Amino acid sequence: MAEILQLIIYGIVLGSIITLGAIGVSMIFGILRFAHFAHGDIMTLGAYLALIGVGPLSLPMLGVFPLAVVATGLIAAGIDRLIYRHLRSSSPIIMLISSVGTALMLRSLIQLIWGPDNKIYTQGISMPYTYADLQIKPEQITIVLGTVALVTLLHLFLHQTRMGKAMRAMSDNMNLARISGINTERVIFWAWIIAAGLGAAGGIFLGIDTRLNPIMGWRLLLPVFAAAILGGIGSYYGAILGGIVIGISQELSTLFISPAYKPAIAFGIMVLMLIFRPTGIMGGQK
Amino acid sequence: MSLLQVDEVSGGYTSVDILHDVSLTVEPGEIVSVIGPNGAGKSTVMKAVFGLIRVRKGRIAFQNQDITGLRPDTIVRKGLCYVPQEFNIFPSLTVRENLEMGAFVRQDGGLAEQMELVFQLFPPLKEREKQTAGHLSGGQRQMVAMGRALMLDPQLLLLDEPSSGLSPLFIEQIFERIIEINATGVGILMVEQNAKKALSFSHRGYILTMGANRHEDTGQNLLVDPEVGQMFLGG
Amino acid sequence: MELAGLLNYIVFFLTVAGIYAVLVLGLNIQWGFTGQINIGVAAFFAVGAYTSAILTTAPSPDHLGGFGLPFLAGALAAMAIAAALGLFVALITVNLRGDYLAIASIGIAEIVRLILKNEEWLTNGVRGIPAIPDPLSGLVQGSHPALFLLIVLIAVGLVYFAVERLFRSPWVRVLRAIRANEEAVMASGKNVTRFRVEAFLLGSAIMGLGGALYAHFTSFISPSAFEPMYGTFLVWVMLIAGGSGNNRGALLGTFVIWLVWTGTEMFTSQAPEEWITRISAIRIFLIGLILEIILILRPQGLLPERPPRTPEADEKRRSGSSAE
Repeated sequence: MAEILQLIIYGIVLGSIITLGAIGVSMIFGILRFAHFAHGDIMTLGAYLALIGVGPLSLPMLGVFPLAVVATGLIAAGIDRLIYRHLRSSSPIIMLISSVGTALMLRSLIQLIWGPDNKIYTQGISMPYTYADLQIKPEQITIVLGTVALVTLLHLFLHQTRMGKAMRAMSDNMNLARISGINTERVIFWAWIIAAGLGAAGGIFLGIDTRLNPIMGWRLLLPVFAAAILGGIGSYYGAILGGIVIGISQELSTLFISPAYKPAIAFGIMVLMLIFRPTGIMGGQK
Repeated sequence: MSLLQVDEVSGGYTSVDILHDVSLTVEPGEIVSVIGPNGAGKSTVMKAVFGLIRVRKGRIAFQNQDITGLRPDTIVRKGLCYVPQEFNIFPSLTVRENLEMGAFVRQDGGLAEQMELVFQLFPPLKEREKQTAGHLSGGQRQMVAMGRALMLDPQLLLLDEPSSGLSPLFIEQIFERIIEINATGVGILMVEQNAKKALSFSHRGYILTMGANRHEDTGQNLLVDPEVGQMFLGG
Repeated sequence: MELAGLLNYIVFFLTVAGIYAVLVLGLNIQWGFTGQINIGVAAFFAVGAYTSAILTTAPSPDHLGGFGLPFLAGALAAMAIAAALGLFVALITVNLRGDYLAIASIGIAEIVRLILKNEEWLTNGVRGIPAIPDPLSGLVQGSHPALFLLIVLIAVGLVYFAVERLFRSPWVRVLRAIRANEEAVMASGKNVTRFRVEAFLLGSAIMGLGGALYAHFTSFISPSAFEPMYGTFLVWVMLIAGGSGNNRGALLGTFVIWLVWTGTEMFTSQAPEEWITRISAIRIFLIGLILEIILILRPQGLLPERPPRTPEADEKRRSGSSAE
């Protein structure tokens, strides 16, 4: 029993990271109508940008975190300007392929600059808190709380600010948004800032929880998309639910099958969703 | 000066023209209906005015300013608002948020005031202010759609089949609201399938067939014209 | 570089290009003909390679094997197993949006990769399967790369002509009609789903053949040979660069991109040790950049798709009306 609860705890930690990626993927899908396959590498980018601050510059993570998040957001908006903007009228498939190209470029740039080896933010192992046979590391608590905070901020943004409402409006009905005079390119800019920023946060959390390497985000792409699809692609709250479910399922699966096959779990869940309920649990767009 | 002047406009969604030299005008404060059989291109005229389709030939002017080929979000700032026939609300937003989106480009801070006016015009919306728009009935959704378009206090309102999909009771109500809106000085250009009803309160009407002008007269005259009656005033 | 060395290099270059060409032609059937986006090409490539390897190698304690079947049997089995995998994927995703197929294909590729790495009783895991027999071993003495190149070229030729014939057949005209206007085709009573699945199967089978050729060419395979970069992304860039939807474009794209890829490899071999991985990264960046440039500036590729020469099209051309 304790083992199950422990795995659930790990699952929530992993799930938080996946959620941050899945929200971004859902957001880009809702507004730009394509599956952004470079999102995993955006998460990697965030992690490595934070590494610049924490590593050679020896700044505290608390300060570096928001900077890396914003920087990643701006870079993603820049990529949109340079590449995706030219393809706005292309089919979603072409945009998907284009994002694969972006993923390749991001990943190889990161490998070029930092090399292929694993890296970590700080040396040393921290002592986990224990409570009745259950363990959790302090960083893991930070990750979960941090995710909760970010998701709350997102909710406030989407429901209390003009730009946030415009984003939801565009996601609902792009044409009507244009007709109402909403500046769609400005909304798209903010969508990239937020989606990539949240992804960067997820990447940094992943780096804190495990380690950094150039394919860390690409490895997450499948669970992230599985979570978004599970929750209903285009639905932010669905992405949260999906992320936690995928995270917990992956961890619990180690009770039955070899840990090497963990990524297959996300895939399996996703396939089941696609067969039985493609609009997802919360019924996002098809 | 006409409020809206459409001069011999030809165009369509692709390289094939749907509209052929269509002309019409709307004078300030008028209600003008565009009627005709299905597929006559009525909705397409509206989309041409609002910059949603390609205008290959001709000119469209709003208050003497050339708006041919301008983007919708530019046109909307000039005081011309459009209510599409379908998909004309933001379903996951609340009623209030829908109206707020209508006023997105407002710079002058008159948003709250305008929203009050819209609520006075459509009292059921006030009651359902915080409800998700997608859960409302057809008639209420149409009110949201029109309310959204009014948030910018336009001089001209384009309505694409405002009665479509509504029950007879609601149709009556919507038309009454349209007359009320017009009474405040807003010009109305309306495409309507329910020709008889539309003409009965329109100042003028245009008959379009196969994407071209067929006939034009005052609303009353068109109502009693036997040829028009034969064509589509049966229903 | 002396002549013999140069010739050897050219033979090597053309052989690998030929193997890639087979993969690209297979992908073209899935993407070019029916618009199905398969980002798991590496899985079908790998499955074909491993199937042929397992069926043709001598008995070994390290992995499943010992069937000692000839190359042709291995190749055919490779195609069959790859097609079976394709059937599995197609049935799940055939009626879903392209994005879903894309992510599902990544999932399949991932699962195949995990199985290859972890099921050591089958594949010997990361240590790989060595000593895959040369198809010519019964017929000639020693190793003859030029003869193997011939085998590859024959395979490319066969696949190309088979697909070209298919291109003009009624079957494909339905596919093209589906691409243009699915509803009209469905209304006319044809089973769109069946055509899509068939196209996906055929493409998968051809990719399996490419895998078999690869296995017998290198005589040693391991999971790392089928990394997404080499097994999937390069294939995609080759297809997009050449012109998706048409087979000549596919061949041209394969040749050009392979030229770029191996051309840049010269820099890696000249570079000092620490720089090797960095130069590899630059090469991958370059491939990604080429893909973006093509998508933005010339999405139709080097050889844009032309309508096929069918009897009706020829008739139209003769009578002077506009092309299809």
